[in-house]
Amino acid sequence: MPATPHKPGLLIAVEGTDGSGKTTQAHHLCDWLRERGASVVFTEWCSSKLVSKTIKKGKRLGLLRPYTFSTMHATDFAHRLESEIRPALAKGSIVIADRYLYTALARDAARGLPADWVRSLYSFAHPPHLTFYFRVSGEIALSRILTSRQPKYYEAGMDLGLHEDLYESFRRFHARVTDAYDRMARSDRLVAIRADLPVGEQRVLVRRAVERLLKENGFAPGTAKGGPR
Amino acid sequence: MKAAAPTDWPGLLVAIEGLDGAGKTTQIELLQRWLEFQCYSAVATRRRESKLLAKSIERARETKSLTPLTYCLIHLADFSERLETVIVPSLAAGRIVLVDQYIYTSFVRDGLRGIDAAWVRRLYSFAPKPDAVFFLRLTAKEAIRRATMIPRTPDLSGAGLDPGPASRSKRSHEKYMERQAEAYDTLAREFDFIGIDGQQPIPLQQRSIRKVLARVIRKKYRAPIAVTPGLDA
Repeated sequence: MPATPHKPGLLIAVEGTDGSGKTTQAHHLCDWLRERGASVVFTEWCSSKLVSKTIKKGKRLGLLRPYTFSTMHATDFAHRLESEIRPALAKGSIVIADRYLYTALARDAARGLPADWVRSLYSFAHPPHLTFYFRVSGEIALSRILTSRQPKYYEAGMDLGLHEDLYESFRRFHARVTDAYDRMARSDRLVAIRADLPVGEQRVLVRRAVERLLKENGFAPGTAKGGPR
Repeated sequence: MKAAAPTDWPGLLVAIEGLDGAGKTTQIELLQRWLEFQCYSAVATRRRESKLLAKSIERARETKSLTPLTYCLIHLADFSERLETVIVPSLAAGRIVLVDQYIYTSFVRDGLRGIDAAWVRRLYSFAPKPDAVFFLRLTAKEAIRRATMIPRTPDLSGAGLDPGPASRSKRSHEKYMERQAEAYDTLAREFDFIGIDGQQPIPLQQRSIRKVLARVIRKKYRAPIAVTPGLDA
């Protein structure tokens, strides 16, 4: 399935496990770009009108086996790609995606699906112009999540029966997902950010990389406006 | 879950393919009764019958919010759910699974919507190969005649007419059905479908299917099964 290139806008994705702080950074980035006058569209994983509620219901009821989990998320993603992301890019907007296809590749690999099958499933999606990968240890991710809630069943990979204990399952699943992300960081040239750094420092690293991207793509310096030449 | 060879499971996987109106559902109901009457455990499943996704698909079809890509993927998800929650557990438990439209219907419909055929096959490559695929052969003309004769409930989640990728105008629907019929014929040759004449009376079709299935069952279970119960009157 050949993918359509993204143009003339820019697509920037933030990736990483739950508790990596990527959503915080994505919001900072949106605000910063908007302050500079850019038209920014923010899109979140599992938020399509088509199936996101169904996915959440399936998670709540614990009904999602690996292929079902994978294909439902692919459906959600395809719908957002066609109805939100591509139209926004066509208008020249900057799209910030909180999770993109690497989330699916990492999680589905962690659930034991063949990597080449998942790659093929997502072959309809063109890679982003820039992808940040917020890398964090399982311990830190868990402690961050625990400040406000318990890890969720699927977030902890409990469906895989890795361990009876929720926290231990979370650690083991996190390690698997991180392995998959690490491999893609090399093969797909994700920009890795140490997510244990102070938030402000991470923000600086993100802005620096985005500045470079804007410049390379002919967005006017200082304003993030103007679009491609 | 890898694409398993049929013999890996203690159960049997039987698919019935054909155009809407070919009589697949009727034949499956009759097969299920026949099998259960003779102490075989049979379970039936059909397209858009998943617990989670059937409603999403129904809603999407009502609001016409599916593109060829999302049509393809949401049906893949419906299939995945039924495969993982019904088909595979049933096969593992040694049951006979009767599938009303298997992956081949997706090959046909996604293909007619312009989705790359090789990609669709790749997507469904995790699906186990059926022990037998029956193909109720019917001309597009006859399928349309039946569809217009038999009143259908508007419940799109279950059986019913696939309105096709474009408009519902009579002519375009005829054309769509003709192209479907051609696509099924091509797949029938490639995947060795067991052809059944869909124009025949229902009991004769049933007898033809049972004859083949009885052979498969005897071989698999090394147990007896009679073809005629319910048909010998």
